Amino acid sequence: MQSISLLNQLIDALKCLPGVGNKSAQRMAYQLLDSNRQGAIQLSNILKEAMENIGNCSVCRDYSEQAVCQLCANTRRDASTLCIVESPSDVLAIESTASFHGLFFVLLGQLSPLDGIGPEEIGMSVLANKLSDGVVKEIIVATSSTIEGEATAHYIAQLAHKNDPNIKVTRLAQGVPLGGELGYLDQSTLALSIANRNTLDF
Amino acid sequence: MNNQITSCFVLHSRSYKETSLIADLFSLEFGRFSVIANGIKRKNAQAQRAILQPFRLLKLEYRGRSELKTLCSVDVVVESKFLYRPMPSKAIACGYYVNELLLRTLQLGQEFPWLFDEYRASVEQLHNTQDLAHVLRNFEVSLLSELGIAPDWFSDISGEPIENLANYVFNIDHGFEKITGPYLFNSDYKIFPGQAITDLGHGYFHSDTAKMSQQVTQLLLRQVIGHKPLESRKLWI
Ligand SMILES: [Zn+2]
Repeated sequence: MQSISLLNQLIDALKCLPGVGNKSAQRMAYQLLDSNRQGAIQLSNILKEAMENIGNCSVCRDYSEQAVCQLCANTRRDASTLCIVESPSDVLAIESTASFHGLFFVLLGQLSPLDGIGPEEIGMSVLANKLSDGVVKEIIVATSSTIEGEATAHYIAQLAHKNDPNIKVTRLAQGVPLGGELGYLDQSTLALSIANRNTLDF
Repeated sequence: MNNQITSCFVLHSRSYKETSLIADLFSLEFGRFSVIANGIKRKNAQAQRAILQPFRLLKLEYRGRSELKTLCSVDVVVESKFLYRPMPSKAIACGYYVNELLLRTLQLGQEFPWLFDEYRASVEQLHNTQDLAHVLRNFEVSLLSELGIAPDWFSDISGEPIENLANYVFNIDHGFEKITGPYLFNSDYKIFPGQAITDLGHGYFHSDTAKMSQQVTQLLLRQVIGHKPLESRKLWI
């Protein structure tokens, strides 16, 4: 019996990267061996360190190597507004707009009961705990505009109202994208844009 | 040559690999079956992704002969009344419940055209009504009839009409059995007022016994779905 060569193990391991199949994994492996061993060693070190040490912030559930992440620890952020997103990458996306100054809460998924992802799995007890101190006055629910995203938003709204009947719960506006031509829009989005139309000021 | 489905609904879908989805469908033509929608989560397929959602009457084309078909195209059925309007969010949990019932009770590859129409009507009502419980009860009764396990809602096992004010227990082989006196204290059986039973037959529910009607259908459905709790129940807050 022959043992699997290191090269083949490397190619196999590289396939865990998103979008990387056998062919690209081979290319990557050869490229690193040929011309960038130093970079690869650095990558393997940081990869190991990151995978072992990055956990979730105990307040917002975003990825963090500390118990409380930098964003949650930042006292200059507006703690009265909480934006609830599905994934850590959504936090990054909203931060990059520089138009939101409150805090985040990351669901790490969306409600999908038939797949066994219920309220507990998306951190609803952590959220309820966070809301119980009464600091949050407005929740912006930034979930996907799918049925699951809608169900998630509704659940959060109910939970928030149960905790504080005066809390304001908003949802991201849905409709025509900037620079979007109506002809290219799907009917569902267009119908929603008509339902959510805005008054023009003049 | 692609095959066509003129009317169907997505009951549930799950991600497959990075850009694809597998959708479990309930169709007029073939009952339940599944399709894979390759690449539908890519950016350029967003319009299709927006359409392939539960609680929408869809038509589609697929190919393949294996159990898992490949989706070629999907569109909304234009004449449906609830065309592009999203399901009101408080009705979604009810919609999930109905979908889960179908997933747990209907065999794959068997057609249920009558039940399909009942389902379509229920989804339409969930879009429009405030009285969600009423819609659910009527659908449960339809499902029980389709499955062949609906008891007689108007006569008890001795052939006597069910009286609104009398009490009954459900006897799994025969139907409802009127109880009197000492049996009332036998806690092994769930006891229902006659009105909760006849209301299910009429499709009209009195507020004082609506909760009991729900318990009747729950008990009856348990014969087919077993004791494993329904996941969609977790959405009730
Ligand atoms: Zn945090």
